[in-house]
Amino acid sequence: MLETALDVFLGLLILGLALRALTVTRLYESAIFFIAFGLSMALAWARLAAPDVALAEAAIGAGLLGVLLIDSLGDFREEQLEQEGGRSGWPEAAANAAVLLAGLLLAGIMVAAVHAMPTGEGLTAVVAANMESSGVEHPVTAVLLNFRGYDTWLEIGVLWLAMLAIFCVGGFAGFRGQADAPKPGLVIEWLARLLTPLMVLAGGYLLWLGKVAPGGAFQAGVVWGAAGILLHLGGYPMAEKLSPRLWKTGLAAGFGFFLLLGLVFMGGGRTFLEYPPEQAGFWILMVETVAAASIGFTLMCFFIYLNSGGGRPAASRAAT
Amino acid sequence: MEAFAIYSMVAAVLFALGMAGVFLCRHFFKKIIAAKIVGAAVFLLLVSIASRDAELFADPVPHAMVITGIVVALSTSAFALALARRIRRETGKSGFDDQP
Repeated sequence: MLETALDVFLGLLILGLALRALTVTRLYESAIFFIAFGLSMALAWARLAAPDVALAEAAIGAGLLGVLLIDSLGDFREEQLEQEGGRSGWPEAAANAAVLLAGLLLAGIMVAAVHAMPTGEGLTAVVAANMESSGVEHPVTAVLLNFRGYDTWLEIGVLWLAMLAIFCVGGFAGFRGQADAPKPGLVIEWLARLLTPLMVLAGGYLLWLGKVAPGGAFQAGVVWGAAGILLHLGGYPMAEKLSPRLWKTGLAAGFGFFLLLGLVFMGGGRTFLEYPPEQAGFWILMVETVAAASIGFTLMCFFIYLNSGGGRPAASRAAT
Repeated sequence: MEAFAIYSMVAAVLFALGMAGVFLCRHFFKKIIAAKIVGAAVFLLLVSIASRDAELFADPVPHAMVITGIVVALSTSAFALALARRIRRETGKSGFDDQP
């Protein structure tokens, strides 16, 4: 009974926060509501017995994206009130009613469709039967890194592709840090000094834990990436302090190592990304470590590039 | 089972809400947030189905898919933000024009 009440409350909270994020007029509030929405989604994952997803959502969906959103507000600052206050935003009453009706209809159809779906055991039994040969003890890690290693490999590819696309939008010259970067405040400087070692440690712990419990490469990669972002903001410009060679290696390592390993095992007469069962545990840990470092580098790259004025028109970049 | 009933309903309403936001919000920033909400609704549905069909443990395949999906959604949002910021800097606009 109490649990049902909790679920209903959480569901209403999620819907309310999403609605507020879309309807408030100030973009800053919108971003804050969205971060709160992400965190309550993480609670919902925990309620649905998906702690791995909860960790990923809290770190990526709420944390990292929140940082990117708030960082982008600097570009949208001036027109916020003028744009959102008067002529724009949501249309008049009649249109609103039509939209409400259409939305309810859509939601109703979806509820009906979902409840018409057949109940089955899904793939739980298949995964459970093959757990022994996977080399790890946590089912989600087994699926991510062994049974469906393909997906994880290509996902790192997607991250990489997104990074290249972001570079294309702004030109690569943007990624050299700001010459006129403001000096960081005392608070963030000390925070960076205090928290960075802890975050590196926590990331490593999450990585190691992935073998037996919720955790793993993505969560660890995000924590490491966040540590890099904190260092960057705390007066240690990562784009300049780390050598270009290290950046390139770090960014390419995850995708490349996965590919290399897959090809080596293929040469040994197995299918692509199929580990020999007796060594699977070791190779999964290796792949996870390299992938996590690479994910950390890529996420750091997203933020630093966007933060340091990548995408600024060529004229104003030349002026600074 | 009860959790499935509640969260699948939330997912459906959230999907509709996000879709409305994608079409109605003028500002790119809010359009991106709306698209993220649609994505979150789909993830919520996937995981609630996994919890409905749970036996010894919840079906790990949808969980793995959702973790992958969260990272892919972040990549696309970061790219969308980069595009929106560039458009804003080049043209001073932060939404689509009404008149074609």
